[in-house]
Amino acid sequence: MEENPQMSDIRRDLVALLPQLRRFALTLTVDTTSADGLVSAACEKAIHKSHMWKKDRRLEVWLFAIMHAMWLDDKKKRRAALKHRGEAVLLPMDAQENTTAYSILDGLSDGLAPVFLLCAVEGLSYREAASILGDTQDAVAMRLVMARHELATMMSRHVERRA
Amino acid sequence: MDSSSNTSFDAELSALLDDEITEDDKHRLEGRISADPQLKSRQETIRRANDYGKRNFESMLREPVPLDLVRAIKTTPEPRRSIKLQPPPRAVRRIKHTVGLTVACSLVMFGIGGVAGYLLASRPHIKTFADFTGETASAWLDDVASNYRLFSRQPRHLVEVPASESAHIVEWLMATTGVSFRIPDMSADGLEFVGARLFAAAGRPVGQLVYRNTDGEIISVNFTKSILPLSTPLNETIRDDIGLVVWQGQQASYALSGPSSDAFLETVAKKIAGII
Repeated sequence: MEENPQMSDIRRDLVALLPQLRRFALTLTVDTTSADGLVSAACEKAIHKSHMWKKDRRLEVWLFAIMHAMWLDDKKKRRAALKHRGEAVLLPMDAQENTTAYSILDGLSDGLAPVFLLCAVEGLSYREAASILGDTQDAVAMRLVMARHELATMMSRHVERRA
Repeated sequence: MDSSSNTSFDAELSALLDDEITEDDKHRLEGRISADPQLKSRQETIRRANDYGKRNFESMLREPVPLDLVRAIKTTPEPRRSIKLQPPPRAVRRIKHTVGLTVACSLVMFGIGGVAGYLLASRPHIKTFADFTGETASAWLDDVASNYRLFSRQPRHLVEVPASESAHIVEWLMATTGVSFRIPDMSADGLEFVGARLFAAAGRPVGQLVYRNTDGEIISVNFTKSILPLSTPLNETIRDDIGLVVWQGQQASYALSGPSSDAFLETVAKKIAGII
């Protein structure tokens, strides 16, 4: 039996990680179509550059960094294009996805959702999150505080609505 | 407490929650919190907000992943390696067209035609063009996929013989397919053996062992007398929403079928290939 074990492993591992990768992509793009496009492009890049993956680093952490870099590139290009046309930058959100989970993405201020997801949910250290997001550890710490403040406000509104 | 000291305290609480604080600071902070009910209440608010966010983000993992995404990853081609091959030196030989050469070529062509005719006549099982062109293997896989699509969606009629009659399953399928096999115990991998069924694919009898995973999805192992080329390596293909991992054994061809979104089909196939 002939096969390339490293290649088949990375593909299999990427498929297993898809829910996590999509979730991180959603914190960046907010809409599912763009998130799926970002995940697909990042996975393709990871497969082609699999020789560059250092096994001492978790695969998802490497993918988060790839996705963030690709998203930043794309954002710059879109901003430039919209500025050129004199339009505002809007991140669309599908109406049918306005559940609590998605309303959190929509409700958190710009740049807070990815930090919260990486540190509080994925359990990464401030240092790892800072390296993925191309930021300082202090900035990551401050954004986490802001995210928790905003989540506390959202939670109390949610409780009031249900009462 | 003014707003700036509030923010600074919240930053410390946040760091405490993430375990990003030194042991000394941790003890100092915990001492302050236990002495002041207002600070304790503030810590509780931040902790609850954190849990609220985590719960909502965790619920996103339960959403189904689009199959197109799975397919796109599984079918991404391997990176090309640039290898420069030196073209071998080619000796240019001119052939003279003579009457003798023409006669010799004609005889060789006549011989090849005769041998091909003899081989075809001596292999009566080659009846169709598909047999002749080697498309039988592809037709076999199509039939296996169709069978999986049909039966995996009928939970009440999944198998013909249940798992409780394992001895009969082995005897029955060995006699019908001509393939000797063992029923792999995959319980350690979360696969419960449900039973077996017999069906025809590409005109051949196929034995099918049916398993169910912890998510209730059906994974089946299909085998028939050798139909794939001997050199077939273990590889995965996708037919719509069905993933197929095929391989060639000593005396039989095998195909593991399951949902294409299952990331571990290949791992399961490897394990089964070593047991069956």
